[in-house]
Amino acid sequence: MAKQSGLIEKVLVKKLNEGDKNAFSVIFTTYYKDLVLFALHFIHKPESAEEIIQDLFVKIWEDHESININGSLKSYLLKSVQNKCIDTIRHLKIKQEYYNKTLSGSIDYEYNTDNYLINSELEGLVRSALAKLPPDISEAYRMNRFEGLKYQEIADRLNVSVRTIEVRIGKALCALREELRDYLS
Amino acid sequence: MKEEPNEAIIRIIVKDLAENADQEEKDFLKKWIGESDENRNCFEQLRNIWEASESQKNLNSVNTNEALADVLRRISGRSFLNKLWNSLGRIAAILFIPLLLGNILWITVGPKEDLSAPGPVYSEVFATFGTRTALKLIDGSLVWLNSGSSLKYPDKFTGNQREVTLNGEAYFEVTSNPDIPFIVKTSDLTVKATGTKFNVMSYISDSKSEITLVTGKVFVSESDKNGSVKPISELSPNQHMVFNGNTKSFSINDEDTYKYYAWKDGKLIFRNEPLSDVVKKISQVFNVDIELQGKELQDYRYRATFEDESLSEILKLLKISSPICYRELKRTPLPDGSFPKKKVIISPVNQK
Repeated sequence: MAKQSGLIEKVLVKKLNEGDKNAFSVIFTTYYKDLVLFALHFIHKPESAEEIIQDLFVKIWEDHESININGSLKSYLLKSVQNKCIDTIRHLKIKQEYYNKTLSGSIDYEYNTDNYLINSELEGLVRSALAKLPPDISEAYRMNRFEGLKYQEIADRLNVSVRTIEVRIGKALCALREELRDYLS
Repeated sequence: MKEEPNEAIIRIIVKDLAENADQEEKDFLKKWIGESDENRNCFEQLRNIWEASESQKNLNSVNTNEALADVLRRISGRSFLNKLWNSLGRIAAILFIPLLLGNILWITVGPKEDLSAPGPVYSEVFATFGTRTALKLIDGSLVWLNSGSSLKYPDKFTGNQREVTLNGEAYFEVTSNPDIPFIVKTSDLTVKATGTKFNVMSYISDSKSEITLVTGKVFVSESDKNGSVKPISELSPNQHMVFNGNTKSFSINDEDTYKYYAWKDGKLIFRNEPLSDVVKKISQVFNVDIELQGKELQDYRYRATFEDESLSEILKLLKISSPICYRELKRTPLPDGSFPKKKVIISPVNQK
């Protein structure tokens, strides 16, 4: 999937450089939701995340002539969003709503934006990969990721310990990683 | 040689992703990640899958089209102002004419006496939000411009066609001249007419364009930046075409078309439309941000005719005639002193 759209992306980027607003609009509508989702990993408020993405696109248009996107458009956008979010966090006074809750958690590790698969790329793949797993494994994963239930809530519902849920989700995650091996790098 | 990470570290990762890990576990994880590229890769891939599996349900409040419209407005706002300052000489006049109830003010715009310009002088007319503008072109053709639309037109038509450029929505009554067709250009389409009445809706911010033919005949083609034109279809009276600028697909329906151009008479007509479309139209006309909450309301079918009513009156009527309640939010100035668009929230009755 990524390979096919690579050609279309090259055309879009070229037109963007030439000042084609339609190309700009297509890029925007293709990536907007995924970029907002990505920004939400750094900044928890959806309105703030949207603002950041929109500001980013305004800047992209302002610099459209000089922008040089050599590799993948997606990686360029993800990297720009990550940089902008990190800058935003740094410049603002530390307010709970902007600063990621897990100060020393996973956000310490910057993202590898070259290989990151965005939501719209992964969603279908994850669902079909999950379907191949035994139901007791995929169930907990689904309840957390699709229905938004916390581990404790899932444990209560299924009448098992939280530890069991953590183990099952771990198994699902590893199995998914195995299934999606080819797409992930 | 690849070694699968052990169960213990996987469990810590699963906890960490859900922000359930304690300090000791986080430190252990950090150390493990730092031990090798392989570990780091493994963590990043698991995290990627984890994050990207999350249901997009949280994002229902995100409206990509509106966001694009906002961004395009910000972009155009700047360049329009630049263009304005730079080219006041060439532009004969820019008119903002609010239409009074029922009365229409006809303006015939003449060219500036600009002897240095040999060709026609172009003017651009805007209908600001909440207003409609009407004008009579030099050949006697009439144009009604809807809220938030603009039309670029010359002070004289030379050559073998009469051409105008539209962004937004306009209703045309074109004087008959089969030898010199009237051409309306939008960002996606070209509409050619010889002597007819028709409505064109094509906002740059929207990939959907709609053309409604009342009387006469029009030819619709796809146009691109290079000027090449690809014919799409001919329309007969009482036909309504919808064209998708992204997929290039189109559909034509035979139907009663008045509701599509009733706006020119100050009427907003909804015939069995889903409430989500009604709200979208009202937002557009009055330039307010209306949020429609509640899944059940999105498809609720609505039928009404509003004639020159104010936004408050329309909201009150909606409330009486459908299972909704609404809240108009107070506008607070932004840090730079400007005011954001007015916001209204419509929610189903019985929602907490």
